[in-house]
Amino acid sequence: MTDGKWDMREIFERVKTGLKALGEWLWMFVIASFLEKRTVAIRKEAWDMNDNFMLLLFGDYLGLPNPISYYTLELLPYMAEEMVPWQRRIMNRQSVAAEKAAQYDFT
Amino acid sequence: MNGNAGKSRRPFTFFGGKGGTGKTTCATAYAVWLASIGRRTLLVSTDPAHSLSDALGVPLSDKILPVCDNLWGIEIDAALEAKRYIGDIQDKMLSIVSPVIVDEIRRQMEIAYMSPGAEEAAIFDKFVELMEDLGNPWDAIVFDTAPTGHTLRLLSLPEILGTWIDNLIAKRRKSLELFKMAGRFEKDLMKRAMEDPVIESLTRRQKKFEKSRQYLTDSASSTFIFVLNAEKMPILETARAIELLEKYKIPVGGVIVNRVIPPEAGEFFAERLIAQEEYLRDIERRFGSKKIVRLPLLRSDVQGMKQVNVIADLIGEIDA
Ligand SMILES: Nc1ncnc2c1ncn2[C@@H]1O[C@H](COP(=O)(O)OP(=O)(O)OP(=O)(O)O)[C@@H](O)[C@H]1O
Ligand SMILES: [Mg+2]
Repeated sequence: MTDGKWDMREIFERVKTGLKALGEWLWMFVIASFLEKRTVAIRKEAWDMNDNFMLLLFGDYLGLPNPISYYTLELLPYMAEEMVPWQRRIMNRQSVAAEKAAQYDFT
Repeated sequence: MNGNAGKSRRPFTFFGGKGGTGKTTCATAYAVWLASIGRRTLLVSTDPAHSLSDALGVPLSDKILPVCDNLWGIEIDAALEAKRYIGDIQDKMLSIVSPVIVDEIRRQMEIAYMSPGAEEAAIFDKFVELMEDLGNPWDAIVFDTAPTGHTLRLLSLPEILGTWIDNLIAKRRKSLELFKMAGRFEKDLMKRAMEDPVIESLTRRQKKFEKSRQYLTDSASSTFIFVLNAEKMPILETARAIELLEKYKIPVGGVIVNRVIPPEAGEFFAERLIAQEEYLRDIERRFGSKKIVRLPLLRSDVQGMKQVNVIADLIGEIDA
C-alpha cells in the first residue's frame, strides 16, 4: 500500500498478461472446436459413406437388386462385425433403402 | 477320321444356341474330332440335364474322367460348386469372427446362395478355373453351354461385374480416406484405414474378372460357335445372340446348321425341304461372314460313340 501507482501498474500488467493468455486460450478454443466440428462432420460422412458401401454390397438383404451378391459374400468374413449393427441401423430407418437407392443408378 | 489341326490351335471353344438345337451333340462330336487329330481335349458340360453322359454313352461326373484316347470329360454341377464356395467362406468367417455373429448373418448367405446369378457365377468360376489349368494335361477345352439366355449372361459377367467392382473399390477407398482424415488422432480408426482386407479381396476378384475377360475376348484363345436349326426362331435368336457377344467383344467363330433334312428324305419331307431352302438362304445371308457348317438330320438320335463319330467326321470343317 506504500506505492499505489506501482501497484496499479503491476495490476494492469497482470491483467494484461492474464487477458492475453485468456485471449490465446479463447482463440485455441475456437480453433479446436472448429476442428472438432470438422472432424465430427468428416467422421459422420465417413460412416455414411461406409453405410452406402455396405448397402451396395449387401443391399439384397433389403430387397435391392445386387448383380454381384454371390461375389460380395467373400467380403462377409471381414464385414461381419459391422454387419449386425449396420442391419439394425438400416432397419430402424425404414425409408433408408428407398432413399439410398435413389442415389444410385442400378442399371 | 480325316482332317488336320485346322488353321487355329486356339484352346477354348464354346458351343451355344437355343434349347434342343444340338449343342451337346455338336460339342461332344467336336471334342471327339479334336481328340482324333491328336489334341488332348477336355469336354465340359454345364447342362443341368447332364446329357453329356448320354451323348457319349460314358458316365461322367463333377470330377474330370478319361473318356478315350486324348479325351476327358466333366459335368459341372452348379449347385455343388456354389455350396463349396459358400462353405469355404463360412470356414473363413468362423476363423475371423465370433460364432454368434456368424449365426446372425447366416440369412445373408442363404440369400446370396439363392440369388438368381449364383449358379451362373459358380459355373463361371469353374470355367475360369479349368481355363487356368490348361496344359494339365489337356491343351484344348470344349464347353457345352446352357441354352442361349443363360450363356449370354454367363459370358457377360466379367464385363458387367468388372464395372460394378470398380465402383465398389472407388467407394471403399473414398470412405477409408474420410476415416483417415477423421481419425488422425485415433489409433483404431487409423489402423482400420491402413490395412483393409476388403479392398484386397475386391481387387483380387477384379483381377480374376480381368483375366477371364482376356481369355474370352482374345480370338487367339477363345471362339464361340452357335448351333441352330434351319427354322425361324433359332435363326432370329442366333442373330440377336451374336450381336450381343460381339458387343462384349467375344469372337464368334462359326455357325452350325444342325438337322438339315437331306434331299433324299423323300416325298413326306418335300414341303419341309422347300421351307428349309428358304431358311438356309437366310442363314447364308445373315451369317455369311462366318464359317457355316451343315450337319444332316440322322435317322435316329445321336447316342453313343458310334453315332457321335458320324457327326465328328463332318464337324471338323468348322475349324477349317
Ligand atoms: N443331326 C442330328 N440328327 C439326329 N438327331 C440329332 C441330331 N442332332 C441332335 N440330335 C438329337 O436331338 C436331341 C437334342 O440334341 P442335344 O441334346 O445335342 O441338344 P441341346 O442343344 O444340347 O439341348 P439342350 O438345350 O436341352 O441342352 C438329342 O436327342 C440328340 O441326340
Ligand atoms: Mg445340351
